[in-house]
Amino acid sequence: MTESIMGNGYPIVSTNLVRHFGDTVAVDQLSFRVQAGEIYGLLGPNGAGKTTTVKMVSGLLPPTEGHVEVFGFDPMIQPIEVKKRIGLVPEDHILYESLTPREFFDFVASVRQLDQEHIEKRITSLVEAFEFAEYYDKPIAVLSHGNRQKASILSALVHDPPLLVLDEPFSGLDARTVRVLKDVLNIHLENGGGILFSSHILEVAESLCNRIGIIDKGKMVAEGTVDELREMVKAHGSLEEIFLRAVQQDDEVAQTVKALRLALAKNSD
Amino acid sequence: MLDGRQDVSEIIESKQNLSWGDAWKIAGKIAFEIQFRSAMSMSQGGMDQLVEKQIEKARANTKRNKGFVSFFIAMLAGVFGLIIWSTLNGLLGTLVENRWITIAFTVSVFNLIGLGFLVFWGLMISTSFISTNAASIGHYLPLSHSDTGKLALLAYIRLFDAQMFTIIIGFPLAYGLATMSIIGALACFVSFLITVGLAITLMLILALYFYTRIQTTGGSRLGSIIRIIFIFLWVVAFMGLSFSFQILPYIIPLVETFAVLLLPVWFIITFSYPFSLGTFVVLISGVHGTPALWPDIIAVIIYGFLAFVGVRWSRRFLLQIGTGSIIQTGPSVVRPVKVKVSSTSIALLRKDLRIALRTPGQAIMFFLPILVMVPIFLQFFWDAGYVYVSDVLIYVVIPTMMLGFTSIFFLSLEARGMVYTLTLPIRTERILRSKAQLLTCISVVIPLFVIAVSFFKPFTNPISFAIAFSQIPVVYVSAMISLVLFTRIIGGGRLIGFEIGQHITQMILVSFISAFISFIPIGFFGIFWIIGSIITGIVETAHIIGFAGLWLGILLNYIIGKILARSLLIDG
Ligand SMILES: Nc1ncnc2c1ncn2[C@@H]1O[C@H](COP(=O)(O)OP(=O)(O)OP(=O)(O)O)[C@@H](O)[C@H]1O
Ligand SMILES: [Mg+2]
Repeated sequence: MTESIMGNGYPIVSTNLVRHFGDTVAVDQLSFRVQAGEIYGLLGPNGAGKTTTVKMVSGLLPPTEGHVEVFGFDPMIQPIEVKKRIGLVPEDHILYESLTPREFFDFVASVRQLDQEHIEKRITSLVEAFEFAEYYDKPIAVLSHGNRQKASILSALVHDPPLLVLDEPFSGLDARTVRVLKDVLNIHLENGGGILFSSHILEVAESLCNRIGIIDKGKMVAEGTVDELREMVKAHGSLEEIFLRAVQQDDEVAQTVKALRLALAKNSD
Repeated sequence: MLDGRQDVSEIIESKQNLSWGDAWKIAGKIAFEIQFRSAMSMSQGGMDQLVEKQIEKARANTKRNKGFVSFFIAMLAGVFGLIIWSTLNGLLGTLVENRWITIAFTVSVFNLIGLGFLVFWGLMISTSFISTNAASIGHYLPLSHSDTGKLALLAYIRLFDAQMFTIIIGFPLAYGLATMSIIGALACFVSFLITVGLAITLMLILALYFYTRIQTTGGSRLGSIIRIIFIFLWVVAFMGLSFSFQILPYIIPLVETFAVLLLPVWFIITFSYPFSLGTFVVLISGVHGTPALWPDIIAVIIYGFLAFVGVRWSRRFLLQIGTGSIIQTGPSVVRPVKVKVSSTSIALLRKDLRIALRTPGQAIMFFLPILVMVPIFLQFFWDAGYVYVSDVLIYVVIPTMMLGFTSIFFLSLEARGMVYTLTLPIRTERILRSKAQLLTCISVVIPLFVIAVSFFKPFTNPISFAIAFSQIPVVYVSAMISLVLFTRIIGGGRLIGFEIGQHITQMILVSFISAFISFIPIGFFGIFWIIGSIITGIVETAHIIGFAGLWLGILLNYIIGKILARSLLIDG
């Protein structure tokens, strides 16, 4: 990874990012920063604003207020510079369904104007690692959920971007692929790249992330390494405990479960 | 649609077996869900608008669209009634003994037009029917298999119910008014009912064929060849249909000639669709002089039976299409991973071609630009004698004016994939440019045609060729302007995926603007030509001065296009 593609500045600097949808405040004054060589995990309950944040970072959605910079570029003002440097795995992997992965990667490589020899080597080894060769010539429309996710991940990796933005990249992947993807992400970090990633799978986040930001209702409620977070919310044990405490759902969950147990009891009537 | 689901489950709870009436209601909700889902999934990546607003918009758009297309069909029904009325009253000079066959022929042709229209429209819709996995909605409800099939069929129909009803009601009504015969109107109604049944069957067979054959044969050579052959056949069929649409005004006086020409073989062709229907209608309505072609009734019964069986059968297949279970892959051959890096323009073009050739609804998009030109060219060719500069101006400029906006068809190819394109480091204008380039390639047909004509007819002035060639940049610029305007109208300057059937009105608006824009260079030609001829008094010199004006107009258009792209596109 050369200096020029890295640009100047952090992979991501988000400053007071706000996004409204009508009356809904999806993202509220969100500030965080992702450093080179770091994987930053965005955690939060459903509807917390993770996907909205990811879309604003990758230039798919304009913020209502505040701004975000990717390697010093504003995605709204210099979208091309930003998109060159990002590998995005969106939440809903929408690709060109009637193309086969082969045709699709040809297209992506051509639009990104990648070096033929280099890219071929890269894709060959990625396809091998993800055991994707079998599906390389089938229309994307007929691929299974997990295999589409693989195609989406491969297309985010082809151009060797310095920043990966992954919205729940592990959803639908089998155990082997999860393992491979983790390794791929680690190699990416070793090469000095940055990663922003959102997930619900706390174990993965705990084992993978250098730093974690927990957001709730669009607001950052806790941020730091797993240890720092533990300290901060005065919780013990796993990230799950920390997470529930941070979004203040630990007591509420206990209550809910109690009520649920009563309601679901077979001999209640 | 949560509220929709609630209603649906209420209806279902109170019934054991779904009646057609209830099924129709539920199907309406599913149909809307299909339209909404496809609109949503296409705009997701850059979804900037409130979901509630999008729902509202989708609803309004659907209504507007249906209204517009139905209006168009109603107009056609008016033309149909007018032909029959004028024939009956001898206004077209039809001989009394030829009247019955002229009417039979007219009814037949309009049945065919209705069939073609429904098949075309239905195929366009089948794309979203499949991509949204819509029929699966029925699967989740506690319904029997046959009820689920019923729902799938009705949901499909409800996607274009207004169009269909206008056909079933409009044409018989026009017929009844023209002939003042109630029984005739009823017979006509039966004929269009049969046509609709056959149309549903036919478009499902086609959709089935396309989706099993075409989507599965991903990369193979043979697959591509089969694909192209079938698309070619499909296009030829559609071409014939669109042709009869466009030359309708010229056809009217020819109807009798055609019909009478067919008279000696009428007894035989009366067994074939659509002529059996036309014969049936005149026979039943007792048009004076109709011979007793009673065997025809048997043919009609057979077609009616086929339509009935076809519609029944289509339920099952719709279910399969809707749930995607007909898409299968053949045995896979693992080929080595290779990447072909080409230039951005080539990559964009190649991708469009691939997508277009794999989806029936979109394949047709590719050929529509050619279709708009054919009738005018034919008219040009029929005109006898010398070809004057003024002829070239008319016959070359009209297709140019009609061509620009068709670039929107190419933009629609992106569909859901547009969301992905937005993540690539490529500017909106660049993508639009590739669509305009595609259309420009097609517009080469214009000068080629003029050259072809020159082999048959003497030209008065070689400047005609220069004008014909100058239409290529005119098409490019007006295509670009159309694309920019359309992107602005439907996406606020941001590219979003869309389905053409959902944006007919917006497209028509743009087509007018594009026609006007394409006219500017020729307008300049005219003004400069007049000025030139006043000053010099020599026609040849005036032509050259006019030609210079033409290019000035092109330049002006180009600048307008640039300014529009800068100011209307989000990343311009
Ligand atoms: N286009 C839109 N219109 C209206 N509301 C929206 C729109 N997009 C997102 N929202 C709302 O914004 C909020 C944040 O949504 P977002 O998708 O970012 O959540 P998330 O953290 O990714 O959730 P999940 O974990 O379920 O993926 C939600 O309340 C959602 O309903
Ligand atoms: Mg999300």
